[in-house]
Amino acid sequence: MKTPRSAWLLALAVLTGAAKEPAMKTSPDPEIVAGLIQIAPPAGWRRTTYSNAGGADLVVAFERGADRLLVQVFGAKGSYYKNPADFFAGPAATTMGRAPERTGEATVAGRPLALYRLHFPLMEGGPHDSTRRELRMGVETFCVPPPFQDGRFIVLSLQRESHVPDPDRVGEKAWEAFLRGVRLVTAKKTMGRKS
Amino acid sequence: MPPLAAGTDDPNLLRDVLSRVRLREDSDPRAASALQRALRDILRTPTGREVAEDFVAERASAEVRFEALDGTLISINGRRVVSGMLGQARSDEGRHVVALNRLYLDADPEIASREMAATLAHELFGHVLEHRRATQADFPLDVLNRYRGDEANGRLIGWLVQTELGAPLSDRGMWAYLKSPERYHQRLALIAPYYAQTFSAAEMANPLPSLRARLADVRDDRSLDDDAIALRKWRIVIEHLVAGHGMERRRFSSVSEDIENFLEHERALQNKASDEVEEAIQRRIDSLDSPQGREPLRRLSRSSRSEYLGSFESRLARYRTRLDMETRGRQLEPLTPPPPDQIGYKELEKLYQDDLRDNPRHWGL
Repeated sequence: MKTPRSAWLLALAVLTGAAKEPAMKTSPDPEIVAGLIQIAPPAGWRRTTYSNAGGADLVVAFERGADRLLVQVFGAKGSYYKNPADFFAGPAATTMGRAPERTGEATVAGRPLALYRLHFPLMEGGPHDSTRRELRMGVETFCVPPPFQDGRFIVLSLQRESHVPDPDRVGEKAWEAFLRGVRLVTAKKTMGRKS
Repeated sequence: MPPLAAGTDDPNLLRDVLSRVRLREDSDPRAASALQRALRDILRTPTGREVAEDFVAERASAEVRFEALDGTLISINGRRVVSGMLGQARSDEGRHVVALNRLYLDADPEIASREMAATLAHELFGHVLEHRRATQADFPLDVLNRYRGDEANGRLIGWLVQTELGAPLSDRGMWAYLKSPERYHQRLALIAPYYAQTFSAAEMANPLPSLRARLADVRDDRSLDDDAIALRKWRIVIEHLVAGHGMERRRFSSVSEDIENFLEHERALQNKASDEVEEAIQRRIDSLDSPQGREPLRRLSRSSRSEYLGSFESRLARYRTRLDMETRGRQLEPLTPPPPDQIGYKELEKLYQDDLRDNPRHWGL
C-alpha cells in the first residue's frame, strides 16, 4: 500500500497540538477514598465528589473535557448495590440492560482484574424535549476489585461522556496510569487527602 | 424479569378519576376516546393504579386539553410518531391544566396510545398530584418549582407506566437516571436553563454555593470544543482511509453526516443553549444574592427541612428501586435500527489504531 503524503498529516499535527494540555508543574497529593484505597489523582483534572442512594454511595470523579475517572464506593449501609453480583445485574454495570463486554485484564494493586466495557446514553436536551434524535452513547471501561471485609466494594471506571472517540486517547492513557497508582489502604497508611 | 402483565382496569377507579378529570370541550370527536383510552391504559398498571388512588384520595383535579404544542409528526419505520413537546402541566386561573400535544390524535394509534398514557401519568399523577400534596402540606409552591425532584417524580411515574405496559424501553433519560440519579441531575443542570435553577433537598438548604459551582462548571465545560477538535481529526482519518487505503466513501456517510451536522449546526445550537444556562444561573445568583433574595433563601432553607420534602425524597427512592427491578432483564429497544453497512465510530477508531500500529509513517511517526 502506498504511503499517503498530504495535507491531512499537517492538519492532524496542528489539531493535535491544539488539543494539548498545558504541562502541570506538580502532581496532586495521593488521596485516600473512603478509607479503602489510595489513588493518585491525575494532574490537571478537575475533582468533584457526589453520592447516590441518599449519600450511601460515594463517587469521587476526576474530569477533563468528556473524560471522567471515577471511584465509586458501594456496599455500605443503605447502598443501592449490596455486593458486586448485585452491581453487575443492575443498570450501572450494563449497556441499558445488556451485560457488559469483557475486554481484557489490568493489574490493580498487584492483582489481575477483569476489565469490562459498557455504553451508556448521553443526556442531550431537557426531559421535556422529546425530539426524536439518534441515540448517542458514551463508553465506560470499569473493573471491580474484590470486596473489603466490611462488605463495601469499589468500582473503578473511565467514562467518556461523548459519542465521539478521542483519537489521542488522552483518557485511556490517564486511566492506565490511574490504575497503576491504586493501592489498598492498610491500617497504618493514613497519609494523603481523605474523602 | 419480563414486563409486568398489565391488569384489567378498575371501572370504579376509572369512574372516580373521571369525576376529577375534565376534558375541555373539543371539536375533534377523537379527543374524548383518546383520553379515556390513555386513562384505561394507566389504570392497567400497578403504578398507575397506585397514583390514581392517591389522586382521588387527595381530592386533586385537573382539566385536560389537547393543544397545539411545539412539535411535529415524523415517520419512524413507516409509523407516525410525535416529536417535540408531548405535554405540560400548568395552572390557569387557579385550576390545574394538563395539555397534551394535539398531534397525538394524528399519530400512529398504537404508539400514540402508549406514549400518551406515559405523558398523561407524568403530568396528571406526577405534577398535578404533587402540587395538591404540597398545598395540603403548606409547602410553598414556588419552592416546589425549584425542587428538582418534582420533575424526576413525573418522569419516574411516566417511565413506570410505560414499562408496566410493556412498551419499548427507548427513553435514554430513563436509563441515564437508573445508572446514576445524581449524575442525571448534574447533566440536566448543565443543558437546560430551568433545571440549572433547581435543587436537591440538600442544596436547597444553601443554594448559592451550588449555583456558583454550576456556573463554574458551565464556564469551564470544554466538551463542545473537544468534540469539535476530535471530529475534525476523524474527518481527516476518513479522508486518509478513503484516499490512502481505497475504502469506499459511502461506508463513512453516516459518521460523516454526524461530523458535518455537529460542526455546521449542532455545535452552534449547543453553545447557544450553554450560554442560556449560564445567563439563567447568573441571574438567579444575582437575585438570591441581593437584599430581595434574603426571604426566598430563608424559604428555601426552611423548606429543605420539611417533613413533606423528606417523604417526597423517600417516594423517589422507592420509585427508582421499583423501576430498576421492573427493567432488569429487559434491554434498550431503539425505535430505529442502525443504518446497514455503515462504519460507526467504534470501527473507525479501530481502523485508525490499526493503521497507527501497522503504518506509523502514514501518521508522521
